[in-house]
Order: sequence, then structure tokens, then C-alpha cells
Amino acid sequence: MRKMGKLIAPFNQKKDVCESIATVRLASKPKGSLSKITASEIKARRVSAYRYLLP
Amino acid sequence: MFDPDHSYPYRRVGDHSDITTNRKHVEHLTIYQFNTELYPYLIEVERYPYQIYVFKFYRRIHKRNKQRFNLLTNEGKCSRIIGTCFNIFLTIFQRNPLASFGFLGSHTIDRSKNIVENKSETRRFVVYRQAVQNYFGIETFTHFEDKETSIYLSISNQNKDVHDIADKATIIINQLIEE
Repeated sequence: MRKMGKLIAPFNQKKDVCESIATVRLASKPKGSLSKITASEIKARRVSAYRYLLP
Repeated sequence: MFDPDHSYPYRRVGDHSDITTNRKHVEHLTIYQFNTELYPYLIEVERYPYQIYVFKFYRRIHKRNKQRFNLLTNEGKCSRIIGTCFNIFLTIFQRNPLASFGFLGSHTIDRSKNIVENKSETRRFVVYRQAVQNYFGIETFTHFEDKETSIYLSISNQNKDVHDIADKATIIINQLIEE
């Protein structure tokens, strides 16, 4: 009887597969994909001397 | 700096609905004109689906120049010009609180100095982003960006689902970029 374990790739090989999938996903991030800017990023960048036109 | 109180007086010179030729997805186009101390300028305000208003400006003399958004005028009036754009947007926002503000920071092309800037995180993008974040806070807007294409979008928090609008805007941007 065939052992199930034989169907599963060795650990190192699985890691390679995962890394390659991750690489493909990163590479295929479509141009123009908008990412939210966090409040902390905005607070860090904002020059607080200016008054808000809209808070 | 960038303050609408110091904006140039402007007037509307064009109003076009149902734009279909070479302005895909644009529902309405309004064109404003103002004069700096030296030159007349035009501001194009394109309304896209989901009440997204995209602002573009250039010197009127460059109206038919394909690189009108990439040229430098070297006039040093950037802050007042951006303040004028903000002033127009405030007027729109007062009428329509669902309105969102967007721009693309075009890359600079200056043949005389042999400068062709990369399209990602352009100098214009960095300056306009700073201006927007100084004046438009996180209570009223949720801010999104794509550094790779130098596109920025501040979505009004009065919309039910700002993330859904950002996703839909991404689809539109992708279609426009592919062309």
C-alpha cells in the first residue's frame, strides 16, 4: 500500500514552491493598485503648521 | 503655501458632458482659466465614476502639446497654482460631500536639460501629496496612493465604503494605463 507521505513534497521543495508563488504574486501586482496610506504615515509626513481646509 | 486664500482668481471656460473621445471613463469635464503674473493657465477637472474629480493643469499655450503635463514652466508659482486647484475642489466639495480628489504627478520631460524623469514617485507627485496631506485631513478623507504610477486619491469618508471605491478606481486606472 502506498504511503500518503510519498505524495507530499519534502520540506525544502515545498518552501521553494511557496517562495516562487510569493515572488509571482509580488511581481504581478497590477500597476495603478491603490494602497491606503495609514494615519500614522500621514501624521508623520504632515507639516502641522498648516491649518486644515477640511480636517 | 498652497493656501486657497492666495489662489488666483479663476473663471470657468468650458463645460462638457458625455465625453467619449479619448477620455475614457470621464463623465464630465470642466475647464477653468486663471492668469499668473506671467502666463494664462488652464485647469481641467475630470469627473470620473464614484464622484472622483481629477485635477490637471498646464500653461494655455501648451494646450495642444502632447507633453503639456510634463513640461516645466519655471515660473515658481506652483504653490499658488495648487492653491487654486484646492479652491476649486472646495467649491465642488461644498456642493457634493461625496466628492473625492485625485491627481497624477506627471513625470518631467525637459529636452533642453536632457531630463526625462521616471514615472514612479515623481517630483510632482511628492509635492502634490505633501500639499494634500497638509490641507485635507483624515477625518474627512481616506488617502490612497500608487507610487509606481504617481497616482493619488483622497476619498471622501462620507461615502459608504471608501475601500470599495478605491478598488473600483484601481480597475479604472488599470484600464487607462493599458491604453
